[in-house]
Amino acid sequence: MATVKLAAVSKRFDGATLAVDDLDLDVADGEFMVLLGPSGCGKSTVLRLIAGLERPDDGEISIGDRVVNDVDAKERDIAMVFQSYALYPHMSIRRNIGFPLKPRGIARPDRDKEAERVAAQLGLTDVLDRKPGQLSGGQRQRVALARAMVRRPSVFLMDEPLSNLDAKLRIETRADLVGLHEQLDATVVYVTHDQVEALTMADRIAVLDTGRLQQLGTSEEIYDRPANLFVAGFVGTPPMNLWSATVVDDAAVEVAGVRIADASFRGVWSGGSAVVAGIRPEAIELAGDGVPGTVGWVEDLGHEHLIGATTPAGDVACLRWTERGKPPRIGDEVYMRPDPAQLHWFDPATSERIPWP
Amino acid sequence: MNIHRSSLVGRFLVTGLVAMVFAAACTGEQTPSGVDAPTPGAVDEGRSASEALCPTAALAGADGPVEIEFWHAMSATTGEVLDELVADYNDGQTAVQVTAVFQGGYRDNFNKYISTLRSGGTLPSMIQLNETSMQQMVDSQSIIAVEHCVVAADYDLSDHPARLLEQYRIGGELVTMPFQLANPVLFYDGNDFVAAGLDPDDPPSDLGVLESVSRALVDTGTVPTALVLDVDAWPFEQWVNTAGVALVDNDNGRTARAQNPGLDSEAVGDVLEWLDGMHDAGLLQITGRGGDQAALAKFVAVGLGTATMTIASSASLGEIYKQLERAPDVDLRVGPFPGLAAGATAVGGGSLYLLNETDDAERAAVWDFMTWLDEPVQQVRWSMGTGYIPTRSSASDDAGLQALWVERPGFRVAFDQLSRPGDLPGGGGPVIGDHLGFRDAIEDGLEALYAGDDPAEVQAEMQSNADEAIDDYNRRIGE
Amino acid sequence: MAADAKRIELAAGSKLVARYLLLALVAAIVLFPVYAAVMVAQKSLTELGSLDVLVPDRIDLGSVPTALGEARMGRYLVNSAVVSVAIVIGQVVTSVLAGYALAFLDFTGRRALLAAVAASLIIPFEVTVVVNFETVQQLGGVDTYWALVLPFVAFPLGIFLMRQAFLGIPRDLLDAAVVDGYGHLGILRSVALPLVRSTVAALSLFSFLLAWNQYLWPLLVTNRDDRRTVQIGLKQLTGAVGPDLGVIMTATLLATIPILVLLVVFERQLIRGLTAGSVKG
Repeated sequence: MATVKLAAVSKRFDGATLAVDDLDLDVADGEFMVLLGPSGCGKSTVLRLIAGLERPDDGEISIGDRVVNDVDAKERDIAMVFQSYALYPHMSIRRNIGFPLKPRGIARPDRDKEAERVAAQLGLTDVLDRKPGQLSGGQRQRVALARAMVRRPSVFLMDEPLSNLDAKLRIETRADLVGLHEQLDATVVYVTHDQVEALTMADRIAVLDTGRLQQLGTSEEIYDRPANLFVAGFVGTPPMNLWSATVVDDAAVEVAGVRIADASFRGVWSGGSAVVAGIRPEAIELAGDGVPGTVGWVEDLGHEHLIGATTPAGDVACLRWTERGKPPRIGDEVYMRPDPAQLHWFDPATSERIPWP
Repeated sequence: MNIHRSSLVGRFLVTGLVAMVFAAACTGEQTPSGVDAPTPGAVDEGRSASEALCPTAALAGADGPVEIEFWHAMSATTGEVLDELVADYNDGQTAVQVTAVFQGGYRDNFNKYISTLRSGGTLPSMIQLNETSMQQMVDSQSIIAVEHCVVAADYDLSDHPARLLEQYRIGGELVTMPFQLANPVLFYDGNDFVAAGLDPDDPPSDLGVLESVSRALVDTGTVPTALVLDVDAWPFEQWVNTAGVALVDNDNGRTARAQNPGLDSEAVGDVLEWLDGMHDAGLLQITGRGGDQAALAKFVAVGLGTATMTIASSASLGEIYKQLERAPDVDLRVGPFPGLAAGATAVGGGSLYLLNETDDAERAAVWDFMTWLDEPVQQVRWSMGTGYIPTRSSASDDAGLQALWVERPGFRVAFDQLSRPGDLPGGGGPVIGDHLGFRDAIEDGLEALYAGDDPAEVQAEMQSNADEAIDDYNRRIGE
Repeated sequence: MAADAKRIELAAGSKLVARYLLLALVAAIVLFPVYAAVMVAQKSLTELGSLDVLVPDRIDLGSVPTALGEARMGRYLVNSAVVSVAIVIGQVVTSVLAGYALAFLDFTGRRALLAAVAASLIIPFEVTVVVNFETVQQLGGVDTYWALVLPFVAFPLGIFLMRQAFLGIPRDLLDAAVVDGYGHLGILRSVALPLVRSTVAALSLFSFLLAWNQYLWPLLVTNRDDRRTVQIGLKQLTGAVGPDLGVIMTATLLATIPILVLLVVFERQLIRGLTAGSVKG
């Protein structure tokens, strides 16, 4: 097992787009690190840099104690699971799984034995003689995993390995992967755009956008203390409501003329400053007074309703309505009262979180 | 399976390579023939110069057999007969050993020769090419005119019909050794003539009679069309020859290199008018343009009775007679070429060149082999095996040939045609650098004519296309 | 026609029948020349032109020994086979290696090289033949097998074909092989090549056909009869009016047989190449 360390790594494609921008990242030995971000954020590039499929333009990549910038992929002691699984269509499952052992000079019978061992571990024994085209999506995903496991690498790299599975299988496999991680005690760098995967599986999450690291932390840290507007808006379903608010004096914040919090920004913000108030949907309740809004949509999720409303300032408000009885209807005027204890504040100029209280 | 794919390549090589060779080799001034020949001056001086170029006596001084390579274009039956002749020559003496190598048709043989010459490869000592290559061989400066050997050896040419010697002379100098001769003749089914009330022993003598005979054959319902032809420039040139009219200037290219075509002549106009009239009247069917297939189709038409007459090379005689043995209901006869006028036809066919990348012994050996092939005995054998006309007048005295002529009178028709009276401009048919380009111009015109174009327009187009071909060649060789 | 079309639309069954009738018609049109050649091989010149020539009234294999022996087609066939197979092997090896390099390897001058290969595609053989002949002459290649083979072992179209085929392989498969520890040769052998097998089959067949049908080049570089190939043999059989048409047709059919055999052997590969299309796992 090994640590992975990126120090001031940058990668540019075609000399133009900066896919990875001055990235620092430490993955601890045995850690399950998730790289989370929207498509095009550079997370896959980071993975390919670690794998050795791409070379960085700047900075240093280390695996364990070794700087691997000039080390070939095959010497890095890593394994990779691809989004498409990348199974070799012309080989049997047995040969697919044993394939990485061949360049290491392991003879065919031993390769087959190893492949069978790993296949048994993942419940693939019955399909060993089939070709990838004859397997279901879930089976293929496990073959890809088996092929990564067979060489006992110190680092597993996984590029959206669940995105081609249907919803139910994805949830099951999520749990399987976590279990496997614990069992193998391996370092995993896992790329996904799916925040639920990230929140449920990661030891730590690195949120990336436009090639830059936005926030690095545990699921709780990312969810409870988003470092900036991007993380606040990206993590959480439905996303955090972001309202424009005004500091009316040193001690209070108003949204649409309604005081929503008493705050102490003394010395930081003066009266009249604009801030962004972040409120998760579950931290808003409907009441007889509060911030006014017009209901734009109502979604019945069974156990609750999601209600969308528009504030007079034009901001969108999304809230969960879990009470029994009839929910508001489209067009209704409602009054929303955020929980002052669960408010987040951001500087609209820098997008950064304002430490508060 | 296309085995005649070389035409495009051929055109490229013909126009490109000769020019390259010429550009590389040509520095001095041009005698009419272009060969390194002494200007005809004092006879003694000429004779010693000829002996230097063609030391016909050098064979005696050589130790061991002199090996020479001979590139030829004879396939099928003719190829077999030639191989037998070569084998007999090799077995019959010890001084010379000939290796005969088939190099495709005349065009392929020429292309390969020019390519090898250009690339400095191993050349043969002797090569067989047809009359369309004569000017280019001269321009390539890679040959020794046979005239020098004739002078050096004091070779007697009195037994050779004048017309055939004239054909292979440029500027009065015999460039190449005649070997196999052919002439266009008329093939017809005598049974059809009888059925139409015509005399099968009296074939049409000129185009006027040919037309009236054709009319009789069709009007009596004997055949659907009387005459079948392919699109071929060779008989077309011959019609013009019979009128004694030159096809190119400078005496058919024999006193200086041809500069302008003569396809704007009245004779050419008459031939086009005649063909157009025959075709429009439904008396003439055309098998197409395409070498062997179109030629074969003419005989198939006669054999099947969809036409009575065709015009083809006398070289086909041997093969046609062989095939006819299996067609008892056809009384195939051969008549002289029906001309535009009563004049002479030009001799066609392959001849033998002595090449100058040879040492004295090889030149002597080539000359020995050439003259052996030229002997009446060999010529008779060659003629009987193939249908080619013998090069020697005295061949007609041969008992075997006489017997053949009785059995197959068509062979005699072609032989007799050589002595048909009349003068060809410059003594022979046209000598043109890009003769194939010239023929393409004619054949393009014929195709347009049969497609319905006006004969006068066709003639103008022929003339300008031929002019382009000639100018193009002359420009390439730097004239 | 319109009425026919309507009826076909009415019933799917008759549509199918019509389709197969059409296929049978096309097949008959395509096969007719072959049938005619076989029949003509049995007949004499004077029987040509009449439709009787197509009646299979007698099967005479008498001209086969003549074609193989007297006409030396046997020797020519062997030579053509040796030369064609050597050319196919050469072309496949160079096309695969060059195609792979041009598809995946990042090296200085790759674009220029690719452009050069593309440019050589449009240079007709006729233009290079003189230079090639000159080279072979100077290397003493006349009458050697290598002279018949060497100028054709690099085949720009083949290089392009293989490059395109390699580019069609999903990028992930190649990356996976890299991560799995393979170098370029290993990837080529274990992953890339098996995935483009149908292209290799098509290329092989195509290059065999071209090599087999060559006439001009073999004629240029050979003078000795025992080095000559089948197309020259066919040419040698053809005279001005043709000698024995039966022998010519028999020889032509003999020359066609190897191509037919190859077609049958490669048929599955070719059809798979045409229908499968995708290599996705």
